[in-house]
Amino acid sequence: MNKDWILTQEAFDALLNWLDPRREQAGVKYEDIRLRLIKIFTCRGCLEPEDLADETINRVSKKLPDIKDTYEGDPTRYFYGVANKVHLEYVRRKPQPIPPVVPDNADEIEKEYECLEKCIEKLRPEHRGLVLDYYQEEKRTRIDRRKKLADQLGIALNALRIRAHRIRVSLYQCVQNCVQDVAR
Amino acid sequence: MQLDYKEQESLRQYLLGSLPAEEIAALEERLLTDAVFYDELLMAEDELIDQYLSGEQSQAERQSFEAHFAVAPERQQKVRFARALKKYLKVTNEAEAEDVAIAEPFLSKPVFVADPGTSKRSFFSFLPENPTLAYSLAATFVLVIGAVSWLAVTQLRPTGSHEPGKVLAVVLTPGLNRSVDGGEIKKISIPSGTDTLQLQLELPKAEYATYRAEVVKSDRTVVEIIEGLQTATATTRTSITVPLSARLLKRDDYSVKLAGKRTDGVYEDVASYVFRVLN
Repeated sequence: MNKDWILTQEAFDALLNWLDPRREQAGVKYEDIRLRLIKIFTCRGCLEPEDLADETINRVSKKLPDIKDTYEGDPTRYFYGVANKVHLEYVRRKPQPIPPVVPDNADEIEKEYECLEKCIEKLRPEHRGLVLDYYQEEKRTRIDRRKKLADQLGIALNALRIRAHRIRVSLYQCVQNCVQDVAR
Repeated sequence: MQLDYKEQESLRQYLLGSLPAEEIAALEERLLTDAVFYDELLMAEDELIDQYLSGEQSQAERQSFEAHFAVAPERQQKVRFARALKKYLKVTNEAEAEDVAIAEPFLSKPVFVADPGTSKRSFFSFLPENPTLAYSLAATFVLVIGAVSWLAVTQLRPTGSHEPGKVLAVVLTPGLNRSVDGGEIKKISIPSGTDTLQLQLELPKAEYATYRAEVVKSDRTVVEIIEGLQTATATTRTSITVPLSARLLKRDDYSVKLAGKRTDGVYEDVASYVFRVLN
């Protein structure tokens, strides 16, 4: 891959301006595009998804002076085209061995569980109740229970699903931060 | 937005690495451009992990999960997290079941059996040993709980199907953001007795047949999602009316994300609005 070109502040500013003239909105769009590119490379089984996403963004920035006046449509689609080229080069390279799955360490599992307990305690009571109710096992009664929960909250089942997912994401982030703090 | 079965199945196959090659490009482009679809992918990931841990997948899916999906270190972390959450739920359930098991023998045979080996006490352990008195107290306790529950239900009734009642209408303009536009956030004081806060979202023009509004609190909790909204035009202004139950709104900052539904069913972000509830 061509990694010689370095993204300068000026090029980065131009990229943001191309995404949206409003700086704050542009920053949000940039972050969204980067995260989604990482996810796409992950879904394609790439072992360095962050590097590939950054390489894609660098290449778009490099190309920007040539295309920004003539390119029509959603800039995001241009990133996708470049991402495909970056991916093609990645698969043509000598394939890297898939790293072996590291077996879970009992101490780490215990630490993570303790962090989870702390993080669940930190949740607001209504969030804690929701996440515990929503993710209960019992496969047979799960759908009925979730419908009942949605009714109790006065929201649609899909809104409940989104709400539970967002609490789960915040819980996951809390646990990751906690595990890192414990390791320091 | 609720994806239809085919779309959900496509996302699932994509995550397991089994989506037909000719469908991948369209799906990935949509992931990049459609925020709601991307969120659906994240939810599908977690659901896939939960199904794997609960043994709810076919043998072929399990193989794809292990050989493709779970290879990424980030996903291995998510699997560990889901496993810990599952264990936490199990432990919590068992603790609750234990409490019930301690309480039940007492109710069927009115003899209190203390368990010196555990610090956990039966929920009903405060009752006296005298069976008659214990039953009387238990009955009173049940009645009190019933009355409190009834009061709670009547006071905190879910608001999904509320009547409009007393309405407070507020006009919001798009993109009003403290740091970008330098404008002031719209502050709303909801008078007591108000049943509905009617947000009138101004739009530059009506581009879609229907819209969806997602109301989110400052901690990104979804308060309400309303679909099928339509524009109304009065003189030169086009707006969309979003009725919200006042009971859902507490003192906090809120944002409303408005998305228009394209003819292919995909939602596109149109505008966002912010407001602050003061009381």
